Amino acid sequence: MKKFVIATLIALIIVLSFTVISFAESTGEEYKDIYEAAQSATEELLDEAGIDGVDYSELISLSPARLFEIIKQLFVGKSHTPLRTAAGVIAILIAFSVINSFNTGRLGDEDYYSFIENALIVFAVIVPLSDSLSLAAGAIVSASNFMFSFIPVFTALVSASGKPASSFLYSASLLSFASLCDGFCSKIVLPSVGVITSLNVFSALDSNIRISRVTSVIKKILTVTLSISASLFVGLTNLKATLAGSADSLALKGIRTAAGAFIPVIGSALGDAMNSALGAMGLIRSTLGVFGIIALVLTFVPCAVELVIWYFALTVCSLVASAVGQKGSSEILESILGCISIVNTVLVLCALVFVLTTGHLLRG
Amino acid sequence: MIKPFVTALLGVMVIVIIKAVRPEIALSARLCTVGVLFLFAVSGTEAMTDYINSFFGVSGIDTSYFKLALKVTGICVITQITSDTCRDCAETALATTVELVGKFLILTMSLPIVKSLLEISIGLIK
Repeated sequence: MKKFVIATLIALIIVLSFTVISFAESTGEEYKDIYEAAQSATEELLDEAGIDGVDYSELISLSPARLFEIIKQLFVGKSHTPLRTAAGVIAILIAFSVINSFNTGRLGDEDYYSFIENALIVFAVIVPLSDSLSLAAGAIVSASNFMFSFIPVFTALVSASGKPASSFLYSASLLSFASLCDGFCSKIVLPSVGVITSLNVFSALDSNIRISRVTSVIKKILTVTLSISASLFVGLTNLKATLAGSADSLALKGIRTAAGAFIPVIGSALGDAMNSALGAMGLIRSTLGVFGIIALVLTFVPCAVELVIWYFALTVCSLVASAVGQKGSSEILESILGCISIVNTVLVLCALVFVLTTGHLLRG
Repeated sequence: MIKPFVTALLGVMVIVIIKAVRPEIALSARLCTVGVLFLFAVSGTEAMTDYINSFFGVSGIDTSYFKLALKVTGICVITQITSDTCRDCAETALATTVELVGKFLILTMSLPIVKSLLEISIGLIK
């Protein structure tokens, strides 16, 4: 008996001396990478909104008033260049409506005045506007890069929260969408806008060259194509996600039932423990999902705000041009407005597709 | 305000009288009247151009092209007056040549604008 007790004690000492202490793996590092994957301008906006990282308490305390304040500051900050340009264009229109009063009509000088007026308007508008359009292209590329970093981590959390089928579907759909944003939007749509804008420049050379119909047709085709594609993509992804969600919940119920039926004594407790673990992972998944949505939206918001201000400023200029009888200038401004609306449509659709698809996954 | 109109009417009266007496100096009288009226017109536009220049300055747009537009206007007006004077003297061929010269000058002055527009277009396409 004494030998048995001593042997047992020695065995216990040996086992305890050579055991390894283990902890659950921390997931803080992946969140940090996702925060750093956002553009620096987006990080500044997130800091202004009081979001320093993927933190539940910071996200839940985000108020509409603070977001409204951020958007208001963006409007004020981005309005300087478009409004100044609009003032210059209106000055050009008024000046040339005065100069046109000297039009004798016999030398064809009306065409010369029209040419110089349109050229001045092009110089005044295209140079600052092209900076804004380049920023928009950069925002789409940054958003694509952010999605490439965000989607793998998010789908891992979705899978860990008991939705493996949904996570696989989400990963496949959104990664292909991110590639499409990078490829189609930045390499096809935006260069097309550049070509249309350069055609507008050529139309300034001769008032007989009418580009406005061409640009309006191209704008309609692109808008309809992008809208239908985005609607189909979101609709199909959400339908598949609903089916995958049903499959996931069936699998979970099956596992709980099997655990309760085949594991003696602790089967039901295991099922409850699984529910708690899945609930915790679900909270992390929702936190990361909301952060991803906010970060992506804030990537697009500054560019979208600037383009909206440009749109309204140039619309006023086009109205003034029509009012003073400068139809050629009005048509050039309308064509430029078409280019701005194409780029804005691309920005809004990219953001909407990501938000709707991710939001659907957060709901379940 | 009515000085230019009074000047024009007086000029016409003098030209008609001189034409009846000494037709060879009627052209000189005509050119003097046109010159005086042209000076009246130019002095009136100075205030307008200063105002428009200040407006351009506030908006930050380069005023060199606006000055070019004013030069083109000046060339058009001078070409028109010269051409009409030639026609009044029954020199239609000379009038047409003057108009051709005016158009050529305007085209030459517009070349820098065409060059800038082409550079912008190529930049956008690239």
